[in-house]
Amino acid sequence: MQIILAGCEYSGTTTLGLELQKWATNKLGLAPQYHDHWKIPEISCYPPGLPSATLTESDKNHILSLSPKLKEMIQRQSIIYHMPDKIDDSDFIYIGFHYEDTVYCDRYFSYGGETEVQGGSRTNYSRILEQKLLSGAPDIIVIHVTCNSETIKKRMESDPHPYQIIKPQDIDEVLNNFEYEFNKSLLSPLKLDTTNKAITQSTNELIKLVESALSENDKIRIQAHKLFEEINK
Amino acid sequence: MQLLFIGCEYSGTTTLSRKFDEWLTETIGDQGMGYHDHWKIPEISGHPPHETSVTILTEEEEQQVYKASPTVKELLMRYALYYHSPQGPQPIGTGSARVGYYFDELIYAPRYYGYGGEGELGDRRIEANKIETILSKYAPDLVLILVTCSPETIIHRKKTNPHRNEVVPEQDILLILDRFQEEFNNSKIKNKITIDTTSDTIGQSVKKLAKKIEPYLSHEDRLKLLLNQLKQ
Repeated sequence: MQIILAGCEYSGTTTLGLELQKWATNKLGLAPQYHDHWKIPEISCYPPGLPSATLTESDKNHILSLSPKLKEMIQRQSIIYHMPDKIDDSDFIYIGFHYEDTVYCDRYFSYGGETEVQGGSRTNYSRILEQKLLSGAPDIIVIHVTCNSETIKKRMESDPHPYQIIKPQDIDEVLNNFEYEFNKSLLSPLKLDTTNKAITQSTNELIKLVESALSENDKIRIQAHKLFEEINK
Repeated sequence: MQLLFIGCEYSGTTTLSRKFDEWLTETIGDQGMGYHDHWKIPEISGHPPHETSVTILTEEEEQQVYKASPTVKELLMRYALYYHSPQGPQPIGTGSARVGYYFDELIYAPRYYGYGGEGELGDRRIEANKIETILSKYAPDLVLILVTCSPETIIHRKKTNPHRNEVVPEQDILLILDRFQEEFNNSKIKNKITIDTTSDTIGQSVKKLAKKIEPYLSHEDRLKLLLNQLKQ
């Protein structure tokens, strides 16, 4: 089960991603890898089972102070580091991944625009990344999580993120930018609107979407796990 | 042809790899291999001699890298290591030269950068093993070239042409030379060559390497060599 959830900050990707992870763990009997670290400066990743560290506030501020060239390099290399490989078909849930980088990079971090020397503009480079994704994870499921700008504003005010990226005056444009990227995406994204919905309702809708797009292999794995659980009751 | 040059700072890895790249272009006709010689913090970006200076870090950016905590440095370098590892089967004829790569990290990171030791954050032994597994799968013909020389030669080069961002202090030279030899011996890469640059000119070292590399030329390399000779 290989899934990308992406959308504008405050649309609900992280909340839903965590719910989806619980569901997938329950259905498969093992937890998919969960990666939600493509919003600068929260970019740290440690493989499970190995020594890890937490980025301190000082580290995060240092990352924010890096030049656009360095930020570009880190994000590009991080995306490739997480690129699935056909031989390793581990389950994963990625939050944001290349969609976030593409939408936020030029507007908020000054790289990845039309004059970007590394791979060209991110909006074009994204399609190259998607070809790699299709090759390494042909059954990947992509969900565009969205909501209206009023909902984003409300969530932004009631529960602001410590390193919030988007600015209130940009919400409509950022939502449009995500829409644009998903329309151009090669990964046949599905769409989930979380406007005015409780988490439970959105989670249920998300699970239905995911179930509708599961590969035959994953359907068999889920059925086999269910049977295995029943046998072992 | 995929080459990986390793060795203690000042042993001649950068000079030899660049000159050998020129020799390959003249002899075999490979037009500038993907060239990655950016594994010594803070010089971690840019691809001279084949790329414009636009991706090389400014002094200010180098300072930003220097001043990053070991946690951030570890992340940055781990992402870079895997970004520069093959991500699938390589098309026939893919050429690349890497200088330092995971060996630099394995040897320098725990000693000089504050991460990557055994059982520590970003244990580079674990990462090196993973990368060698990837290489054995996707770049099985890669040739590992250990460039070495005497400690006296390193001290001499260090004094006559010091690096801007030197990594190895004089008192560590013997130890680092030994560590590269040790890791070279332990490496699972099957194609291995050693070049000692102690008393040779760069031209002589290139000739020695050219002779030693012949058994590892692929069928495509040999065809290219013949075609290139016909053109001349």
